[in-house]
Amino acid sequence: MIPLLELKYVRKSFPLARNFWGQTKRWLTAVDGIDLSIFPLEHLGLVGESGSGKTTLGRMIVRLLKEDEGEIFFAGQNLSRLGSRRLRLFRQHFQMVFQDPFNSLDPRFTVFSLMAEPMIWEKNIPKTKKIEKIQHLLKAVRLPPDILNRFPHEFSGGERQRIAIARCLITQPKFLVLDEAVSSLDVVVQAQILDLLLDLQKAFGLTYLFISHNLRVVRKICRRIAVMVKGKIVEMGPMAEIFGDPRHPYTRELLTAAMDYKASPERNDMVFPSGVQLRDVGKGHFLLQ
Amino acid sequence: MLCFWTLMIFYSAAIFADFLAPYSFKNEDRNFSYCPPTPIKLRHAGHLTAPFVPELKLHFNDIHKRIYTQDEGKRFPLKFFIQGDEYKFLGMFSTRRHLFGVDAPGRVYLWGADARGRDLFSRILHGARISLSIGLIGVFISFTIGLLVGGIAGYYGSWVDNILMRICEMFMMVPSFYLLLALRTVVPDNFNSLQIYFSIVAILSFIGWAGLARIIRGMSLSLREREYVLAAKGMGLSDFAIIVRHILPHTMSYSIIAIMLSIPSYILGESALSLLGMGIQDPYASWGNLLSDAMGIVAIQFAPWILLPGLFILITVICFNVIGDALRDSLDPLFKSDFAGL
Repeated sequence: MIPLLELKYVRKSFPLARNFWGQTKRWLTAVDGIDLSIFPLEHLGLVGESGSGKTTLGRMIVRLLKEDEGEIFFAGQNLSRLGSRRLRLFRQHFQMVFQDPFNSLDPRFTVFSLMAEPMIWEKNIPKTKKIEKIQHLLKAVRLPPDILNRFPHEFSGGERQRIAIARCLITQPKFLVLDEAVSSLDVVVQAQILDLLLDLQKAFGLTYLFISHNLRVVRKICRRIAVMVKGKIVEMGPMAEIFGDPRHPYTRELLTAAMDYKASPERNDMVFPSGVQLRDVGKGHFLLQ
Repeated sequence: MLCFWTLMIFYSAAIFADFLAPYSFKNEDRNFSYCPPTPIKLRHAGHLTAPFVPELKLHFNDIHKRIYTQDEGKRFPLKFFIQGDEYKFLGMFSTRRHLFGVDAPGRVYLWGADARGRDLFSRILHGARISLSIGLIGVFISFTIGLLVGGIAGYYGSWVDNILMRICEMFMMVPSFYLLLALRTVVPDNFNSLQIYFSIVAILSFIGWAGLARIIRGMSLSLREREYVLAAKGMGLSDFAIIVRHILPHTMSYSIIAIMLSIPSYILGESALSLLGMGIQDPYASWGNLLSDAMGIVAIQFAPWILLPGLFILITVICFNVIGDALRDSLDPLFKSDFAGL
């Protein structure tokens, strides 16, 4: 099968401190050489503690950040090589849902102008057509279609996240990065949004990269999981394999914390010796060794 | 609120100056040099009559001071909607109607006359057009520049930010009044009054944008990290659209206050230039060049009413400052939520 998204040794560092001459003295490596493939219609869960670089990775995929090294291919197109004009047009194929729906919707915009925003350059589309399209999507995310003139602050967190999701679907993307998309919501609303995401996946043929620190959430929606620590993927495989037979000490620790999984917790300082690689340990299960 | 209505009255008076003023700004009568405010009388020989202006007779006393004596033997009734100097009403059609006035050869000087016998009341009204509009147009131009430069510098950061901010600092480094004078000397002296007017506006706004740009730059530096800005970028909006739609509107509560507080500096800047004879040229009136008549102590002593334009500058500046402060107070909670501690 041809992967929809393919990452080849992607690295990203941020400058931490500069010396007097403006040269960077220390770097923080947020994403440290990641290889990853995501296949069409797949849900890949990316889990890891905060600061492990998962958000940075997600932002690089949707081109909000540029990688330092490596290449990202989307549907065979090398994203790193796209010029800024072509990239802007290409962005319609992938969208990102942000963690906090209170921040990702501009408080000064009405629902209509928020949702019509991806279409502002398409001046030849009449307004009625746009309204029709927006209302269709609002219905798809189970919101009433008569909210077009209301402002984001009039909605609850769950409703806002639905608006944010509906807005991402305006450009008819094939791929969504959900960056902690349900983390700021309470448990009941979380479950509703997750159901909604599964339904939308079927209706629109979407592929998800689901970034979360919460294993319970990931288990509900993803069939494949990658565990990320300090910028590296340490273990990756089908959900049953990861949950049934966690090999990496960090994965075990994560499971212990999240699921009351009975295992001997052994603290690992996570210093990666050079030359480690993701190796196949059978049944599609990969481990950093 | 009082200040708001005061300014409203000033601005509408400026718009309808042609109609409200009994004379045009250049209507002069040298026989009435430094004529004091004419009394408008309602009583004649013990009887109530229609308002009239008595005839004024000029003679000099032993130190050659002008003395105007009233002679009620000849009365000029005050007429409303009288025919007078021709003007274009709101720039649309020609008319000669004025709100009030008296028939020639009588003259009505509500607030006295200047050295050439021109009506100060009329000239203050006409001067308000220039002095008050310069503030608005100047602010509009310099804020457009300031917002765009600040927004671009803050949004792109790195070397763009560096270059733009160093340019701003070059403007802020030179004391603004000397910069004003220096720039004024660049303007050719064969300009007509309209060209001079616009070159003054251009000069004033050229100076004012830098300070605003710096503050807006700081705000957009923090705004560009907001998730809705990232979301807009992710949706394929161009950088310019993001700056105009998502960054600058969030600086508005600050900008509106800054606009209100900086209008006075434009009015004062124009007045200062005109006062020094480098701004609006005679016979055109602005509050600044009306005041330049009041530079000699003798003139002030014998004709104190020529200081009146200064009073109007004072009132206008105070009003804008009070409104700016009131706006700041009322917008403060909003302002704080966006930029705590700025």
